[in-house]
Amino acid sequence: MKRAVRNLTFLSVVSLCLILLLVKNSDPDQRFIVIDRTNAAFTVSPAGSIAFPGKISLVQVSGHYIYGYVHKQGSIYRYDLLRHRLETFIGAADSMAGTTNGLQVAPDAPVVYRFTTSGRQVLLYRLDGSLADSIVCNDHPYVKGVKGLGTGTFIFQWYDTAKVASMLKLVHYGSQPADSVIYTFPHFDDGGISEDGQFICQPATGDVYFIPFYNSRIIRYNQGQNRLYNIVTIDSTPPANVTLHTSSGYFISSKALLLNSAATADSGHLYLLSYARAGNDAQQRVNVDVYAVAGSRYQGTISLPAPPTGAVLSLAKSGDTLFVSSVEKVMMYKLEAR
Amino acid sequence: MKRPAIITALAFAISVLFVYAALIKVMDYSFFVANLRKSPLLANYNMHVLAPVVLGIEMLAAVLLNIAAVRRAGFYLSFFVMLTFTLYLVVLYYFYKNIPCACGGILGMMPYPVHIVFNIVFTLMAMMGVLLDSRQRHSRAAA
Repeated sequence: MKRAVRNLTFLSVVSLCLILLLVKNSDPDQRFIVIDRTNAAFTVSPAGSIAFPGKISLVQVSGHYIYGYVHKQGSIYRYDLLRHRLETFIGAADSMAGTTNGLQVAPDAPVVYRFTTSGRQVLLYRLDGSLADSIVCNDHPYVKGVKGLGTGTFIFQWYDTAKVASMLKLVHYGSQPADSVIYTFPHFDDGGISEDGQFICQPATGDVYFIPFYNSRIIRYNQGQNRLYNIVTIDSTPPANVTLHTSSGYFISSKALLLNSAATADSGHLYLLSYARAGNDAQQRVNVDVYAVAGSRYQGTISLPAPPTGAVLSLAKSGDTLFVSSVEKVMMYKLEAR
Repeated sequence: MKRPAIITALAFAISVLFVYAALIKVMDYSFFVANLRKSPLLANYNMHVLAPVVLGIEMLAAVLLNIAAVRRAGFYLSFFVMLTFTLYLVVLYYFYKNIPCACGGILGMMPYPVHIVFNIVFTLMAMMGVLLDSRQRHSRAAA
């Protein structure tokens, strides 16, 4: 008996030493990817920053305007790059439908689309900030949404409670309402939470991207071609159930790993801010991975010089400038081909 | 319940856990390896070595527990493995954030505190197995 206790004590000490060794050699809060990052075919240089009155969770650029959504205030601000003036575009008093989970400067009309967290309305604002219209989506309460090509056409991430499946749908509101399923996500018993993500769109090419937060499977839908493409990011994380099921519903597990936090696209490239860390990353940097739209291949990484303080919340691209929103600032970076 | 029956029940329960955990990992091996790779504690180790070693140890413990002659070794190994897994989870939970879990199935869906308590229970069961088995052998020798 004494010998057994002695052996158990010895094993406990060995176990403790083993964990101490792991801690000594650990690298906190990193996500490893299998391949090394390479430099993208761009040089990147800081091009100034613009102060906003709060944390800017969404940024969009159209013409000479930068639109920034300050989540805490429920307001959308607009910065005029020509006049160097910041103004309130949509004030908090107008946020009738709760907070915003999507903001999109329309590709086909001079309006800004605002997608709400309730998923029951899409609000259209004129460029003077006044409410132009609202579309009631009670029949299709969306999770996330983006404006498609054509008047009254939207692409929604939608959770079908009857089929217990999360899907992407092309929905048309107008004289002849129509909807069709574009893509059905892998099934997990999680109410669709594992497939949380964000839409970005590229009006010039008609591409809409769905960027999942927790896995590497990006979906590109080209509405003109009515065709789906897949882009698998370099971390190759497969879709998985990242939720916990409790009596009061599903929650994102503390074990879930946020991989893709922000993205934007131009006609030739997808720019993706990834928290995955490669073996050759010398230190924690703000890495924007670049993927070619044609061929869906990784083309290299832009490491932002003088990165913003705090987490990057949103990206936008206009011309040769990458806009990076963070805590109370939108930073601008010029990209030039090497 | 007599002592041999308790020992057998403990061995059975622990070996079921190990076989279940190993099978879940084997069934989705790439997911298991991907999650191990993301662990901050295992960042500097070769996953192509570590992943089979973890699986092998789990299977070995299950096998040892089911052979009467080497059951005590199985309990020792189970105690060591479960204690190490528990300490690993405790360190991750209290000192790191946003951590993946390489356990699949039901185990992977548990929140960390529940997972830690679960592991502690099995660590104590393995310890009890060692002590009961030791006492039984001692009684036999005395008789």
